[in-house]
Amino acid sequence: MKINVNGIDHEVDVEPNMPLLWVLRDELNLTGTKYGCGVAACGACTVHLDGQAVRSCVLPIAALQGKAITTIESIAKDDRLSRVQQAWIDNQVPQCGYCQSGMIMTVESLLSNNSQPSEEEIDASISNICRCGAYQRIKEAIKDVLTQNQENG
Amino acid sequence: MAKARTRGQKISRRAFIISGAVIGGGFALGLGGVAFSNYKKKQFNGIGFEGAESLNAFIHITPDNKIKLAVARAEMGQGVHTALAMLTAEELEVDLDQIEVIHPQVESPYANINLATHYERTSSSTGFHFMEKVAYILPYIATGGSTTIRDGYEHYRIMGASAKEMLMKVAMKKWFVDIDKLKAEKGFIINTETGEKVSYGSLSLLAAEEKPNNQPTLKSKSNFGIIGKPAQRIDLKGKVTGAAEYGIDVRLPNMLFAAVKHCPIIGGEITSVSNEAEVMAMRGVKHIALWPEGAAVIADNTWRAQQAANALTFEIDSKGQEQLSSAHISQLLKARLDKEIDHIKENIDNTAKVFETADKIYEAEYEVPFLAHATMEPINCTVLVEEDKAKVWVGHQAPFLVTMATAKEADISSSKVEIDIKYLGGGFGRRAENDFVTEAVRIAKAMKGTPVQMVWSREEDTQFDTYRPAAMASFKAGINADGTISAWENHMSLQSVLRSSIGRNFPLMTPPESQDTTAAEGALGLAYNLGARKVGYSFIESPMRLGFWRSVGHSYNGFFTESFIDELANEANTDPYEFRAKLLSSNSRQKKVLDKVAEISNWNSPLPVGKSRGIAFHESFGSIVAQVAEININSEKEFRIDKVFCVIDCGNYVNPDTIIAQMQSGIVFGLTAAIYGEITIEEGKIQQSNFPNYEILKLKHMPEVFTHIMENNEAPGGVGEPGTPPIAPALTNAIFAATGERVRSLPLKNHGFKLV
Repeated sequence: MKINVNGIDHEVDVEPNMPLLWVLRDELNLTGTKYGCGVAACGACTVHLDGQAVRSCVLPIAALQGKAITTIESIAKDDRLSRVQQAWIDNQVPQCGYCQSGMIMTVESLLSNNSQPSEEEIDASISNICRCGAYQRIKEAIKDVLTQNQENG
Repeated sequence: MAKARTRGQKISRRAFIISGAVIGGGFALGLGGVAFSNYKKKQFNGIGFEGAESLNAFIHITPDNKIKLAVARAEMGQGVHTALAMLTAEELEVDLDQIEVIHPQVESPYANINLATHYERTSSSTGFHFMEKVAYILPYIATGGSTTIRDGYEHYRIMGASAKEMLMKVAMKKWFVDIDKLKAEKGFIINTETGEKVSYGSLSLLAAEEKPNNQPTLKSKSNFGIIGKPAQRIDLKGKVTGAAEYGIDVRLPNMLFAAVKHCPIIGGEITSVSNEAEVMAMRGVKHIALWPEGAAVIADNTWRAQQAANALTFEIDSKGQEQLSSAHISQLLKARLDKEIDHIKENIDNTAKVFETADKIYEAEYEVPFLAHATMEPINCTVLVEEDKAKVWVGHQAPFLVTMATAKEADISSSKVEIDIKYLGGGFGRRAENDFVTEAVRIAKAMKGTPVQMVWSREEDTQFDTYRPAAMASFKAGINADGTISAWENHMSLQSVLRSSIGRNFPLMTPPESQDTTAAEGALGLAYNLGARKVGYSFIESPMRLGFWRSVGHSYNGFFTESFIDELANEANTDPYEFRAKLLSSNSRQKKVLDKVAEISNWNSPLPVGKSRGIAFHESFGSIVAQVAEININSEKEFRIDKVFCVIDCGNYVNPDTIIAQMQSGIVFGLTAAIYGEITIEEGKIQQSNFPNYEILKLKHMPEVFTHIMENNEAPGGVGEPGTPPIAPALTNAIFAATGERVRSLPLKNHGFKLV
C-alpha cells in the first residue's frame, strides 16, 4: 500500500484494513500520534487528512490512497513551533501530555477552517479526552492564538 | 496532625545527617545506612549520565556546564521533574534550563522516605525508623501519596548547596582566595575581587574529590529567586511536538508487539486456548503465551497482535465467580455496615452516653462505586530478556517493584535488571502496580533476545484494572440546640486496598486488617470540633483487585464526611459555611482556608435564580483544601458547573503554576468520578470497557476554576491529590442547595442528573 505522510511517500506492506494509527506507529515509527481507545472516542490519535482532523485509529489505510496525511511531527517547521504549539507552552497546557498531540492536531484543524471560532464553536469542536483535565488551559491557549490571529492576520 | 508532621520532618532531617556522618568522606550524599557505605561513585551512573562528573548521587556536571540531575520520581503530569530541578537550581545557583533530569537506576539514595514512613509517622518512632531502614534497603523508590515535594523539599536543596560548596572549594584553591570573596551565579564561580569567572563544568572533576558537607547553609526563604515563583515546566517542548517518549513509544530494532486478553471472569482462570492453530495462522503472529489470568499474542505489529488476541477463545474455570455482581457486593457492604465497627481507629469520650442526652440525633448512610483509573496511555511495558539479564522500558510509579518483578519472573538477580523509566501518560496510582510488568516479562521470556512491547487495549486496561473500592459509610451525630455537635460516629464498610494491592505486589509486607491506614484516611482526626467521636472501619472480602486511586481513602471519605456535615448544617438551620466555620478553631490554618474560599467565591452574595453554591473542605496529604462549586441547574435535573473556587494551604511551595494546574486537574478527576464514574459487575464480568461507557469529563463541561494558594511558612504539603476529595461534596452540596435533593450515592448520572 502507498501512503503519503508529512509530504513523503511510503510503501508499506500491510493489510488494507489496518488503521492508519498502527501504520504510523508501528510501521513508520511515527509515535507522536497516540493510541488511546481504538474506537474514535478520545481523539489522542488525531491527524490531518488533506488538512482536516480525523481519528486515525478507525481509518483503514485503504481509504487513504492519494491523500495527504499530516502528523504532529510536521507541525513545527524547522524546529519553529506553530502558534498553537507556542501558545500551549506559554500557557503551560500539558500535564502528562499524552493527549496533547491529538489535542493540538484538532485545534490546528479547527483554526485553519475558522480563524475566529466562537466559544460555542470551540466547545463543540473539541471532544478529545484529557484525563489530566488541562481543559481550562487549553481554552486559554486557544484564546491566545485567536488574539494573535486578530493582530497578525 | 500538625504536631505529628513536625516530628516526622525532624526525624527525617536527623536521620539524613547521621547517616551522612557515618559514611564520612564519601561523595554519595544522602545515603541512608551503613550497609551502603561500600557504594562506588560510578555505580550511580545510570543511562544518560555518561561524560558527567558526579558531585553526589544526584548532581552530575558535564564539561560544557550542563547539570544532569538524578530524579527517581515519575513525571506523570504533576510537574515533579520541574519542581525538583527548581529546588536544586536554587541552591546550586544555576538556571533551570541548565538542568536535564534523568531517571537513575534503582539505588538506595533515591528512596522515598516520606512515602515509606507516611503512615508510621503518626504511630511510633520505632515504626518510623523501621520503615526508614526498610526503605533504604529495598530501596523504596516510588512516586505516590503526594510525597515528592514533601520528601524532596529539603533534600534536593541540600544536594544543590553541598555541590556548590565543593565547587567553591576548588575555586578557592585555584585563586588562593577566601570563600567570602567568591560568588556562585548561573553555573559559574566568580572571583569578586578580580572579576574572573570559571564554569562549574571546568571545576567538576576536582570538585568531585572534595569532601561533601552534609549540613550546608541553605538559603533563607526571603532570598529565594526560583522556589515559590512560577516557572516554566522543563518537559513541555517534547509534549507539544510529539517527541516526548512515553513507555508506549519505545521503538527498538527487531522489536515485536504483544496484545493481552485476560480471563473475562473476575478471579477466574483460563485452562486452555481452544483455537490456537487458527490464531497462530493469522498474519504476523509469532507466538501465543498462556497463564492462568490471561493470554498474549506476540506479533510483528500491535494491531495484528490485538486482532489475534481478540480472536482467542478460552476454556475457563470460573472459580465459582460467575455469580459475582455489584448488587451482591453492595449487599455485603450493607450487611457489614449494619454490624459493629470491627476496627475502631478513633474513640474519644463515650459517644453512646452523649447520644442518651443529645438534643437531636441525626443519621445518614452513603455509598460510592468501584472506579477505574483510565490513564490516557493504556497500560504497557517493553522488555528484552537475555540469557542472564533483562532490560525494561516502562512508565512506572514504583521502579523498585519493576526490578523485583522482573528479576523474579525472569529468574535472574535484580542486579541484572536494567530499567529505563519513561514519561507516564497518566498514573493516578495504576502505574504503581507490578502486574503488567510481570506479564510483559513473561511474554518477553518466550522471545529471548528480542524486545517485546506489550500493550493492553483500552478494553483490557478498563477491565483488568486495580480498582478504587466500592464503599459505604454510616454516620450518627448529636446536634446541640446552638448548632454545635456533641457526638460523631462514623463507620466505613469496604474491601481493603492495602491488603489487596500490597498482597499482590509485595506479599511479605501485607499489613493486618487493623493496619490498613487508607480505609479511614480523611475520616480520622478531622479538624472540626465534633465532641465525642467513634470512627472506624470494617472489611468485606471479594475477588476484586483493588489499588491506589488518586487520593485513595480520601476519595470516598471526603465525599462522605463533607456530605454529612452539610446535612448537619441543614438540620441546624445554619448556613453551610457558617456551620463549618463555627466547628473550626479560630486562627487555625483550616479556618483561614475556609474563610478564604468564602471570600473569593463571594459566598454571601445572592445568586440569580437557577444558580446555587456548595462548599466542601478536606485535608489530605499534608495540605488543606476548600472548594466552592457554583452551578446552574434546571427542573429537569440538567446542570452545568460554572465556576469552582479553590483555596489550598500546602505550606511552603515550589512552583505555584503547577499547583494551579494540579488543582484544576484534581477537580476534573473528581468531577468525572462524581458525575459519571462507576465500574459495575454482572455475572462475574466488568460491564464497562472503553470511554463510550466509562465517560470522562470533556472540555465543553469544564468549569472556570479560580485557585488561591495560602502564604505561610509551614512544612510543604502535597498537591497532586488534595484537589480531588472536596469537589464531589462541593457539587452535591450545591445540588442540595438548589433542589433540596440530597445525593447520598455516586455517580450523579444514576440519580437522573445530567451534565449539559
